[in-house]
Amino acid sequence: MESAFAKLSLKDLLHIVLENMRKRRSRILLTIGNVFLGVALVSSMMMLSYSYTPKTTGNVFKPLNLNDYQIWVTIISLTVCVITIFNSMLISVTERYKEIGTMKCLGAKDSLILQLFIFEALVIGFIGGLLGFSIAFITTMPMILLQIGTLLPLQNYLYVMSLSFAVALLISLIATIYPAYHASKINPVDALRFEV
Amino acid sequence: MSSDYAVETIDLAKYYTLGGTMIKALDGINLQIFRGEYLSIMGPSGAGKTTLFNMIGGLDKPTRGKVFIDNIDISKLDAYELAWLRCRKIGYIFQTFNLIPVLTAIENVTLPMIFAGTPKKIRMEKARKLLEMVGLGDRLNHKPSELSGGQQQRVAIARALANNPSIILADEPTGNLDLNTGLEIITLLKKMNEEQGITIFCATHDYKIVEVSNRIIWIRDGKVEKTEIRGYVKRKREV
Repeated sequence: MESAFAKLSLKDLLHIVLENMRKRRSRILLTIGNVFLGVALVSSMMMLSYSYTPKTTGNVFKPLNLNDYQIWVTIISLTVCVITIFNSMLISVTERYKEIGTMKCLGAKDSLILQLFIFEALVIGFIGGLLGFSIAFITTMPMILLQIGTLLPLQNYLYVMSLSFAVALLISLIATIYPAYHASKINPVDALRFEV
Repeated sequence: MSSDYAVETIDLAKYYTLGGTMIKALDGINLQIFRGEYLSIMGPSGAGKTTLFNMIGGLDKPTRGKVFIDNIDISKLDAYELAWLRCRKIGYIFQTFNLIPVLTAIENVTLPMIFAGTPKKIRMEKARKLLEMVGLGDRLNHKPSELSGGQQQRVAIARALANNPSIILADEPTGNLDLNTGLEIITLLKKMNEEQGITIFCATHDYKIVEVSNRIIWIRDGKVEKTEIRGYVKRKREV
């Protein structure tokens, strides 16, 4: 009888996650805003750091040039981000306590509940990262133009972009691991008795 | 074990320790539910109805005794197998409906089939049929918040039937409904029971449900107080 479980298709999973996010859009927007701010800070700092580097000719990739102070600020702001997302995700679990209990009652496995939350985190991280990088790109553009007279080489932007996405996905995932685990371990009996 | 039983419990007991005192929520329940039977459990609050419901539903582990569903001893199952059992063999109906608020009526009905891995085409078709059967053919794409209590409970009934379970467990299905709507739900359950031969196990306070039951079991303080037989289930009880 073990074989009887089919894997939930990605499409169904995404559908449930997106419907959920739409229903609770105000808090989700706050969480995205949170990721966005963190990523915008990190990626604009990285972009600006290139403009301090001594001019190299042509379209050559420049290494990152962050000083200790900038690294500190980055770490602290990302930590604040993680804590806030963590908090928001915990609230989300509590809000959906009964819903999760019902799903488990209907035969959802623990891993499915885990997947729902991880997926949500990935979507939040992706949107936050995209916004963060775009805004950082736009706002740093005039400064970079003033400093070095030209935009950074494309490779540098691609490099910063991949780092920004990595940071965005990573912080939202780190913040979601515990809430998601907590949600997956909800006991349906307790959850069904639970009144908000 | 005879295969006549959809559910059988043997000496089922559940003890809780609350504030240092032992509470016997269930104390040696022996119960057989026949296939196609409409069985009601009556009893005052705190008699153990919901505990019994949770035990039979595979939601909670007993302190002592055994529960067989379709001759499967559920105390031997691990969490993964229990999820499988809940998904395929048991349909749940709750007092508070417990629909997923972010999904539409038809999506709510397809949810157990998604968990069971039914292909999309088949499950959408089946969900539509089930919703038509419970009289909500025109409300397929409404969210639970756009439906009345009675309609939500109908969606819940359709959802409970989605994976062709061996038994439907209903925990006070009319508890949150007014008289007329409650009666509609009861009639619907009875119709399902008679026309489709679905086994229904219903924990209730509602005497209207008692009227349509084949058998009523009164429990008090975790024990079966008395059993009343209203009507025999034609096919199986004669054997």
